[in-house]
Amino acid sequence: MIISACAYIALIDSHWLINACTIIAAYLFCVLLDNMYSIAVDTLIHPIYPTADLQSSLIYLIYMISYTVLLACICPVLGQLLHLLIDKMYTGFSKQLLLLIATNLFACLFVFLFNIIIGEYIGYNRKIVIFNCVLFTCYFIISTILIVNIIKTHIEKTDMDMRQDSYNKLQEYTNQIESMYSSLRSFKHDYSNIMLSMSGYFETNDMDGLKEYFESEILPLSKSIMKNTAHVNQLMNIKTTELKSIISSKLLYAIEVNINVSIEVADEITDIPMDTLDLTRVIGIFLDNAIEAALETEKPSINFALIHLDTEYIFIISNSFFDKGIPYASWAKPNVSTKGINRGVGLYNAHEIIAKYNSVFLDTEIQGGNFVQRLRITKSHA
Amino acid sequence: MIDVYICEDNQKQLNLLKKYISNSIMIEGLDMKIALATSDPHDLLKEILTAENIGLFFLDIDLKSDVNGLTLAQRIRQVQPRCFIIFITSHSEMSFLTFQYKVEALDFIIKDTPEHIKSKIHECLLDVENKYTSLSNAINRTFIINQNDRCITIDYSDIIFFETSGNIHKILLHAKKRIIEFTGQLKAIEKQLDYRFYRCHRSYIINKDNIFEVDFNKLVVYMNNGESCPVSVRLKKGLKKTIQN
Repeated sequence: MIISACAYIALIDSHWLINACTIIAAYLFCVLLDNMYSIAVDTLIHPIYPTADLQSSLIYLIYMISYTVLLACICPVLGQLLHLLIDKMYTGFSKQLLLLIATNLFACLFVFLFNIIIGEYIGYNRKIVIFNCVLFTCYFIISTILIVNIIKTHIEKTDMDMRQDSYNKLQEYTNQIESMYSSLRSFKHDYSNIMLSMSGYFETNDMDGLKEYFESEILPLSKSIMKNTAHVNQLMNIKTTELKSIISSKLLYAIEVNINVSIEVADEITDIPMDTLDLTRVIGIFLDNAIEAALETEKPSINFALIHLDTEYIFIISNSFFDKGIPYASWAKPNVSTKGINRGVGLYNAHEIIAKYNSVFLDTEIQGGNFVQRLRITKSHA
Repeated sequence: MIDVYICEDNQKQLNLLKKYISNSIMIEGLDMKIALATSDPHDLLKEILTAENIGLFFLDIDLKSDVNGLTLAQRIRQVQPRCFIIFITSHSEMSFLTFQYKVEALDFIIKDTPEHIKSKIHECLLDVENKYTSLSNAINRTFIINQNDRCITIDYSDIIFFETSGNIHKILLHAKKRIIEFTGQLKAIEKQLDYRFYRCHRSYIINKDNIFEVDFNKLVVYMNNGESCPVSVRLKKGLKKTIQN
């Protein structure tokens, strides 16, 4: 058992703490179940065959087989539950917390083992087994409740953090919209001025003056207006708050660092069939990478589109980029990055998340000087 | 032969476009003719139902009719799935990526200065001609990925390798400039591919034409785009054999 456990831990080293915890918990569970089951069998058999000894080989064999069957019945269900739990925890679990849980489990394991060794030493009789059973059950239940509670509070906390974060980003978005509105108001003001001065040129019939005025004043103004808006208002079509906040904050940052940004969200986007947290993480990672890559080019640009079709949602992120000749596939491996060692975790995580879903597909392409990522989220498995 | 269709609500601009296009066709001696220049999208839809040749469409987006350029383009695509669509628009708030995705628009011409429109039209016509000839000469076989009602075609020669993804339902296709995920199974894909592909590993099918180097000791195939695939011990021999032939 220990050897296989070690092998398992060594094999999957990325989450070795979680793995260790799972193994210990599984072992504890087996021991507990074994004890309870043996008591149950004992109490059932005892009145019928008072002389029968649990240790005798035939009964022991029957016992073992029935126990294995019982385990085989229970384990798949438990496994599924555990998978769900781990998937939820995957969103980021602090090492400290994990260590705490692991310590608890280890302590539990030692108590169990100690008890078993003592039991072997003294020899089993009904009383000891019953005592063991009660002890194990109590201990097991208490630590289970403890762990579940810890995990629950942790999940709630991350959820709160997320919400707070998205709220802050939304605030930023609102500020940006407000500043856009005020710039529009100032333009309105300018506009009446322009009209006034133009009518002045018309009255004096000064065509050359008008031409000069048009080229020096009006053209630059209209250009700056065209550039500034960047269709940020189209983001209002996204009705999922978290998604809107992440996209707006990243793209507004991009505009701030002088990237030419275009945003296309023509259709109303309500509920995308993908976990919001996962989706925002993936999109956040892609946008971060897009911004970073775009900044390396001479004319940085990012085009973002979110399309809603009958059967699917499509995110398109296209950015100008400087081809360094690194094959894209290797970017998505952990620790490979254009930024140096230990920094390429983002894209790897994004791919991990996408791989979790059967209905989410990534399409990456290099089109001329642009790096295009399309994330398709289909509505059904059909 | 390519039939050129123009749909533009402004009669003046329509005539201008017609002139530019016919000029370009004449100068370059392209195998194209203007089949229809109209301001009514319904005329155009009627016309293409009986068309025999592949079409090239120049469409205005704002048509001042009950159908706009996008829906018109979508209907055209239904009739002629392989046609070429180019949008002409004055919208500064145009959605390039959306249009490109929804109707696979080939290009966009922004209505600004006449010179610019003229040169852009010329460019587009040459581009279409190129695409059309390479399409009709295509001896290259292509791999087709169906995604709901869209399909993506990738030349066999562009495919580097197929790989199973971390998710058992998905396949990753690594092409020269693209990596695309789709639902599928390697076994089914292996059957439809031709001689140049070899399954060198339980979860890899490689294109032998794109091998850069094979290291039989380390059991790795290096592809010519810098990526590498593992080779399984069991399938090593077969790979050696097929490469040497």
